Amino acid sequence: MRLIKFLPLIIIVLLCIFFFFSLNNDTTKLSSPLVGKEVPEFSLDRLFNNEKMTNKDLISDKPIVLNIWSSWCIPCRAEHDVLMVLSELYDVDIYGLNYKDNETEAKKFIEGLGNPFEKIGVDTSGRSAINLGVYGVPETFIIQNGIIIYKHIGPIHMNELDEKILPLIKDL
Amino acid sequence: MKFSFVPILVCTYILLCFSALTEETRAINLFKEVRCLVCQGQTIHESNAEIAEDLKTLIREKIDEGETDKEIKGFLVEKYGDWILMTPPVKELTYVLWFAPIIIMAIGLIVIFRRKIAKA
Amino acid sequence: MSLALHYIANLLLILCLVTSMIQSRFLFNIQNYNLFSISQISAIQFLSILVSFFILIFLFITSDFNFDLVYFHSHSEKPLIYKLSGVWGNHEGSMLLWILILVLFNFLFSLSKSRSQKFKEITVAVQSLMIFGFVLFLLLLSNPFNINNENFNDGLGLNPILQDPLLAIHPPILYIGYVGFSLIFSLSITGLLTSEVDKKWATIAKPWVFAAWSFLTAGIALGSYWAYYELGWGGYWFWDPVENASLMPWLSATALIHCVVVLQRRNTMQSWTMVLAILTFSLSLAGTFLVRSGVLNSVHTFASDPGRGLFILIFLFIILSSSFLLFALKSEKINKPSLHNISSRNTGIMVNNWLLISILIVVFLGTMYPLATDLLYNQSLTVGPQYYAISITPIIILFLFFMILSPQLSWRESKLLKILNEMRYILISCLTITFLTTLYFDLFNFTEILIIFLSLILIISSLSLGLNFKSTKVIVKSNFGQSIAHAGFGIFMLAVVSNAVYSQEKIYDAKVGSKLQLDEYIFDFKNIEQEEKDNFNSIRAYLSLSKNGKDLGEFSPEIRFYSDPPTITSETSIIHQFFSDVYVVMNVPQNQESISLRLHIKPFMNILWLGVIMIILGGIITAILNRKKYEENAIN
Repeated sequence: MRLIKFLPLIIIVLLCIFFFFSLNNDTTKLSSPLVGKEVPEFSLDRLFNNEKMTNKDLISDKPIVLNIWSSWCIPCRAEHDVLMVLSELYDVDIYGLNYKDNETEAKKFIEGLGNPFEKIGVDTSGRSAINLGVYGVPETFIIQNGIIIYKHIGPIHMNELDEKILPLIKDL
Repeated sequence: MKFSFVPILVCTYILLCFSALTEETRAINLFKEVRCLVCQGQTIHESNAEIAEDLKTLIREKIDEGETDKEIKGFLVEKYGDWILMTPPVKELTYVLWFAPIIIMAIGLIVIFRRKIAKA
Repeated sequence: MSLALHYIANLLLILCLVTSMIQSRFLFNIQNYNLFSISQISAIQFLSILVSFFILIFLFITSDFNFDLVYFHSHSEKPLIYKLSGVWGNHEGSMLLWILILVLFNFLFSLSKSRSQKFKEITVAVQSLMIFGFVLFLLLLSNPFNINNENFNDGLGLNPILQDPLLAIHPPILYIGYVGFSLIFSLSITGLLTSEVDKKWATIAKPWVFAAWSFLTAGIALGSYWAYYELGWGGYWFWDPVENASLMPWLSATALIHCVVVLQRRNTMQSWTMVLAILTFSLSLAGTFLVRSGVLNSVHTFASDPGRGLFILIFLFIILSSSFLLFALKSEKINKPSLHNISSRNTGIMVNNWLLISILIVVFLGTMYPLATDLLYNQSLTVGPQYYAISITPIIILFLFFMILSPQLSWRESKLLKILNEMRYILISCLTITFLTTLYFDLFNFTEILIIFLSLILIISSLSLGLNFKSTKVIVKSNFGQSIAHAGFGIFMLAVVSNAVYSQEKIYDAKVGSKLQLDEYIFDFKNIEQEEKDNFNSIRAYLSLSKNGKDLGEFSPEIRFYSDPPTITSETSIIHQFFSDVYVVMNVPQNQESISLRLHIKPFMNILWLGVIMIILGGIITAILNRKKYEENAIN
């Protein structure tokens, strides 16, 4: 019974420790439950081609980058340069998923800014994106052997490419 | 006149069982339980953001395909995590959240009444 | 000019810092300074902050963009009232306002009569120590008087969502509530230090605690009313982290005011009162500051800064851990053995105290759990309104029951059967009313019926306790404040439940000329117009509302596109009727062909606000009625 008087003190100390750690914890970053799982099945028309792009295209020993983009998304434009660098300087296959876009606009976007993608699947309904757990554009997945290794929400900046994406790809 | 609602109720009940109306209410109830991913604290029911509209279409289609509410929620959780549900599911991770208040309340009440009885 | 004001304001803050240090000398037993009396130094503290606050107001009104704060949060073309509210519509300014209220309370207390000179000295010293900490924080980490060397032509503006008359008065009122508890906190620390927590202590604390509680309630209600008509999400409470942060101190304060009454009447529950006093102030501090530190994210927050958060956290930690340590060491000394029966009012109040704390735990867990799972397990969760509804409902039912019962019990001992017998008319009439309403509205949910039933009894029994009906005249009793507040809570609960059950909403993709229907209401979508205003462009829809052919008024919901900073807001349009509010919100148009409109029927909203106003009034009445007793008791 004597200890009960110290209970409020103990609770306060514990809470302050908790707050101290959550102060430095970035709550805006969400982990995807799909990390560590297989890429869900999909089969999409390709943008410059009459063939299909399917989830089987993403199965390879080499790491594969899957980027969700759209011509109407402004951050995607900034990110596109980073993707171009990645495709030109490093031995990585990049696949694109064109999210809820207009075909001519999408083609104009690629023709104007260059094409870093091996294949581009067109997801007009946005359904395949939901299957991939996408919040919005742009988002990027790193895939190996058909398993999702990493997910990046929002545009990849140059420093993020150097600090996160490249080390991850090199490790694989 | 007040009792005219009885036949109406019966009719609506029968209608409810077979018509698309249940699917609509089911859909809306589900919309209210799914968080809008890009908005702050809103459900997809309240939002008309792009992704919210997509999710609404998806839920409607899944209802048409005959999936149960549980299956639909399961699908969403599989893709986006528990975060997408407005109400956290009861599972190991959330036991404290769901049961701590009621347990703490019960302990406190027992202490109050037992102490009083002892002194009376 | 700017530079001079910069120096004057900073000097005033430093003056306050120094005087606060002098005031807190009593805590360290330094007595050899007697040039000025306590109240004179308190006056200096108060005036220095008041003048620097006026300087800040002056800077905003004259749009002096040489000051960072004005540059970032104001704009020369802003209407005067928003320039004024811009003063506290940001972190630094609201900190200064907070400190202003802190010194105001300190000043008022130093003027009031107290049980002994020593008691007053220590209380003012504790309060001044806090003032010292806050002013130091203001000077070092959030100085409102920082100057820039650029010559900006115009400011960056105030967030348009904050451009609202209600939101201009909301922070000052809420802060008076929060800060009022700082004085209760200081009183408690003094009580613990001098081992004088007794009837007299309660008599001194009572008017302050009731006043602070009333302001806190009013502040929360204003915020809720703002959210109701401004956000247009169809609700008045969203269980958003910031709202919860203000609800938590309210719950603990509500428990506290009841404890103070028990302490005053029965001289018991000393330790628990101390815990609640410290807890309430801790939660008030956490409510204002943790919200800004970036720990909690919400629509309401100002821009957050983790560096600031760390200082606040350390400061909070020092205040709280030292006061709870003091409590742990001293609680034995202040506690008096209590002897009372199980069926006494004490027990009732203790039970409801605990139920309030249980609700507090629900709100706390709901707010913090997502942070905890994210930190510990890296898993994100959403805790939405449903969690709170499910968890709080059973507690509220018990709470209502004891709220009806406790005031009927005497302080010593009561026979439950006798009370049941006395209340039989009320019980029977309420049961009949509930039964009839249930039939009429075909309501079949047991929980809802039970809450409605209990609320009805609460309203009638509370009113009959506070008023004495003698054949021709009505006599107001001394516990009138309590009776009004309790009845108000009953009315509030009644409205909350009915509102939850009977609210309706529908979303239409509507074209101009179409007629929309919701329940028995017809919405005639007449026109849509684009307008250009001074600081925003808007799209406004015009609808007229009718029911059974009767015209009820016009709606004009609006979407505003502000340029600085670029923001889109949606202005709700509400038609208030006695029993229900009908309102229309326009969603941001996504295409040219149709406009997405959300129609709401919100029944009993007026009654809900009435309940809240009664609760606040009850608190104010109690605070005022007790002033007399306070004067008498404080001297002896």
